[in-house]
Amino acid sequence: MSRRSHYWERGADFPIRDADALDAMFDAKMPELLFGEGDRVDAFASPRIAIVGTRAATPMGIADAAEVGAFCARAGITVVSGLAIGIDGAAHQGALDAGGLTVGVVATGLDVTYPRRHARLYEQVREQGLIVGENDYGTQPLPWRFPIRNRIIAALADAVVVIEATLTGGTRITANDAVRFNRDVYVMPGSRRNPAAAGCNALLLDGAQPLLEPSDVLFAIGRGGTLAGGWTSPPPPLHPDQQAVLKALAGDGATIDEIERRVPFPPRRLGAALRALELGGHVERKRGLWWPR
Amino acid sequence: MLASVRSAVLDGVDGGIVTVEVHVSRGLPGYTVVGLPDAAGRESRERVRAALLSSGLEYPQQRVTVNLAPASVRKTGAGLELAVALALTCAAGGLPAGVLEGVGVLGELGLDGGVRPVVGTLALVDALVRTGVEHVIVPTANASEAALVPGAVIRVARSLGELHLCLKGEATWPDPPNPPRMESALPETDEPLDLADVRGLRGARRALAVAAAGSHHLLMVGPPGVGKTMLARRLPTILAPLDRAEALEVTKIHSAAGTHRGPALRTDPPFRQPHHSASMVSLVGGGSSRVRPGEVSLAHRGALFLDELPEFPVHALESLRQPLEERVVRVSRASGTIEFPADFLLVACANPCPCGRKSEVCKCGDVQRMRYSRRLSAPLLDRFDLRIKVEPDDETGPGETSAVVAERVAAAVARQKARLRGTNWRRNAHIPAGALERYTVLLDDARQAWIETCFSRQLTGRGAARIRRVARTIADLDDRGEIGALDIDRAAWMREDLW
Repeated sequence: MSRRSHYWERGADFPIRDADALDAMFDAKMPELLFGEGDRVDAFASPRIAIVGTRAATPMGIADAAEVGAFCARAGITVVSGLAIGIDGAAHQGALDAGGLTVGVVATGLDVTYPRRHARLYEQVREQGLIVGENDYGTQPLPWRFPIRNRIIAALADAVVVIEATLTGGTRITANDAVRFNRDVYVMPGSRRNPAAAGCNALLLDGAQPLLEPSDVLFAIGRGGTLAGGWTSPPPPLHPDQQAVLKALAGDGATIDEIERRVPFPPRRLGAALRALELGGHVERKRGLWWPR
Repeated sequence: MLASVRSAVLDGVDGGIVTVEVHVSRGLPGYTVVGLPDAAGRESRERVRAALLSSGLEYPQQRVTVNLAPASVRKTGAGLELAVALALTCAAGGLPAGVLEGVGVLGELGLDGGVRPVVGTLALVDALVRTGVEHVIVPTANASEAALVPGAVIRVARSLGELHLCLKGEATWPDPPNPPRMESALPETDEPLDLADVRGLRGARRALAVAAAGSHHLLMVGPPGVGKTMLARRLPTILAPLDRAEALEVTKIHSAAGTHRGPALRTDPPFRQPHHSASMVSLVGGGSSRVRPGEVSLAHRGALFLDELPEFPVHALESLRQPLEERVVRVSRASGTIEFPADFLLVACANPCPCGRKSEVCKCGDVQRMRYSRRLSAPLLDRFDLRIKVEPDDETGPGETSAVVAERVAAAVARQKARLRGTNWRRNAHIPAGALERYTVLLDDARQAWIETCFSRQLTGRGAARIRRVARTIADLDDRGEIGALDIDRAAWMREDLW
């Protein structure tokens, strides 16, 4: 297990490059000292983009976060996030799986793994990036520490991407901090029926940039249009039955009952279509429902 | 100066034979009971003495020793008192020797000489008859239940005095009870329940019928108010009636547990719905002095409905795993191990998260939801063949009535019984993996669908076998001999990961 420790003081190589300016202009209370653990100090040498979102993410949000994370990794961008379950974890994992660098900002001491089920993710981030935080070793996860931690995520990043956010969650705090610190905020639009997208749509109303394709993030770091990057969804199914099933799902989760009622053919043909769609990665089953991917 | 008579005490839900020996000899007047009686057995001396005197019989002013053989088994309850009183009268010379030969006696005594009922009559009489007893004397209240046991002459005892005269041949026996008819003991409710009361929920209805027909355990998860509980409470209206052998088993258990009401042999399958504060002992059976059957045994050959499944104590739920798998429950105590039958259909309901609100307004975080679902272990969830999500739907027309569904279920049960004749398995859910190829024949397209399903869902061998059994039941409900592709698909659709 690698536990290479680092710390940065305010100065030329402080990861938050404009920390002094942020303090002076916005009273941002940036940390004087940042602790870190991990093998890749060079993670801070690349452009950084924060990918954040709710913990109560939908399976579709999880997939999108992983894909944006992977795109950033391929573009040589370091993915910054909060190591939480849901969108954060998916963004880290997407970047890691694509072989990129990633930085996890924690609200605890560096020796505390929270949530514990991300123990494996913590190890991977240490190997392929850094885990950083402002707190002493042994600091426990207390609810009020997380919103405070979010200002570091916003300040570390050159731009912030919000994938899914509820109206009241901590993601709004990160996005507001980012706006305050003059970082671009890109937001994935979502359906009004998706409670995990309500926060995103509210941010768009406030004037955030919509993220229509992963490559849109390149504009934030002045490399707009240099790299093609649409969504890498699998090629659309050709069979009309399968297309009808995807249409019946209408971009949302549905029970098998609902699908059966909505498709225009008898259930005899539904089984084959669903099996082919599942094998092809077009749909997945979660929480007792069928979801498009 | 020695007399003996056979009687029986409960051992779990079965009867254990006890030979009551009474010895009357010269010496200081006294009364001693040996052979591990419990407190009720030791107190019996006062009841026996008062009952004899009230009935005008002699209580010997001599040394009386009562032995309950076999001496090493603990005897519970007061059901041996009538036997003690008769043997004592016989030993003291009040009855001709030999009159208690081949007779089994059950009953508790009142101080006035009246004979009071005992629990578990069916099991006790059954045990007595098996040991070759020809006449069984039982309390009036237990007479019709005793008459269910074939091969014995049932004698009715109203009081000790009358019984004494009958045994001496100085009076005629009261009329023996008529063997009871097969009768339904469904509780009469103001409004009879019917499946037609539930609107919509087509998928859940279908799953309920599959569960009832093939004895596949069913878990329904959905927001409150959607109709899960309403549906589950109507399960008794579609369960197939018990046949005579099953009815005897069920009556025996309920008689031993003291929950059997009325003289009838019950033909409707039991439906038990314990509250979620139920303890482990109340679910699987146990108890300190007398080991009692738990809810799983009271639901034997019927259904056990656990509403709000995650609210049950975790260790109580985990204790269900063994009976679910083996269909018997073994309760071990220092005094020995007792095996209760526990072949039941488990139907359970749960909310998707602790707040239980619809997903639009639910404020539960992923962590809370995870913690809630973790109360149900993977091995327990795996034992549910049918796991469905129940969502509100906009269908408003009334569904099929219970009568229609019950008929289909009964036909499917008959098909299974015919197919599984000569085996130990009653329903499709009981077919072991090794016998699946023989009893669940797949058509070509069904096999294709089954293999594809296994691949796309990355099923384990156990999961694949469960889908096959459920598919067999679905085909049985449709009265089809072969399993088609849609049966496999429907079976797979009724087995979702709910969290």
